[in-house]
Amino acid sequence: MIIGERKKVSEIAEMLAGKKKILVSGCRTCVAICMAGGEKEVSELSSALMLISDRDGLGWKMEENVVERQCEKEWVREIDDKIRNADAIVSLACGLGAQTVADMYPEKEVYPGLNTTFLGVPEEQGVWSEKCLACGECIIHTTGGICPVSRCAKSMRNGPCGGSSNGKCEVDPDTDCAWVAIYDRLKLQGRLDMMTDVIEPKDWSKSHSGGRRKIVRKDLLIQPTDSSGKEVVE
Amino acid sequence: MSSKLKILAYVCENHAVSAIRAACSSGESLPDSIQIVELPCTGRVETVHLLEAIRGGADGVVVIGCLEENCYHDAGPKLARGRVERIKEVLQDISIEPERVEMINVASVSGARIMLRLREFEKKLAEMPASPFKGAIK
Repeated sequence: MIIGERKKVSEIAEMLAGKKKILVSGCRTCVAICMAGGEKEVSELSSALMLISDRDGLGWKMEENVVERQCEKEWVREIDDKIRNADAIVSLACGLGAQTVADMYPEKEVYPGLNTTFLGVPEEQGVWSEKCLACGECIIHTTGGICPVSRCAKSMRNGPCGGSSNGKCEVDPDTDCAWVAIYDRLKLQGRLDMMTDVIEPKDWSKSHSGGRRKIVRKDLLIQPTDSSGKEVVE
Repeated sequence: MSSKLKILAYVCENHAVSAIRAACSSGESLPDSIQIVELPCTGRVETVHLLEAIRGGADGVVVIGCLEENCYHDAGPKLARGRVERIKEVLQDISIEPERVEMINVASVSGARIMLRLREFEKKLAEMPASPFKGAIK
């Protein structure tokens, strides 16, 4: 899922200087699960902002809302009236949700209430860790189901590097070395011979390094589009 | 000054309320400043409840839960403590005294202790500058 962390309330308040009608809008999907931008967090942020407004006489009027998935236009359309009524929208969704609102309502000012941090998983209550870089070329079948691209600080394809020490990463001694984890996993599976296979250099053009990516599934298209999958402007 | 203070106390109806009742039955009385809201468990206290109490004019908010190892619902006081700590950070960030929010854990037999802690909390609040939200409670 997409993991985010809410910005400091003071930072968000600073962005909102001069605004009056503010919509704080969250998302019930990833950021709700990582407890950064769901219903409770929307209430908490609104309340904290109103403390500032009441104390400093800013006269803010706060509206709260949480949509099912802020990255999908059909869900955002459900709060069309709330968005149109607001001077400013603070999005507690990830960068995708915030940009969806900003693209659908280009005349409206959208402010990010959280920092979209990484693609990760919940490890335990209150702990999330990065496990995917969305690099566009998954190879975890060769590494025991462990992604060296996201879990190794150097994204090494053939590790470990010389900085691995006692199973930990030299960049952060609290972080497990991905390649030690890969070794242990392959050993458990009786596939240690794979450690000697040289993995080919990665084609980074399939990652964000190759520029903004887009997927067009022609079999799913309903509205006509040109061969490049040009976006349909509504 | 303390008589003008308003403190909202979110209290677990299990051990924590028993501790307060035990103290009262032995001759002690709650400070007049304290208004109690009983809850099935302090795990029910959300961060917004703490913020809205301050915004509503309370000088301080205290969450009184059971000892962490004695919770009927397993993790209530731990969750509540985490939320209190989170709101302390938020208050600090927006230049409001974080000491206005506190968590106290008590056993049902600790009546004297809870009264002492509440009087200390009341004294600390009385020494602070007036809350900018004072008077918000009608």
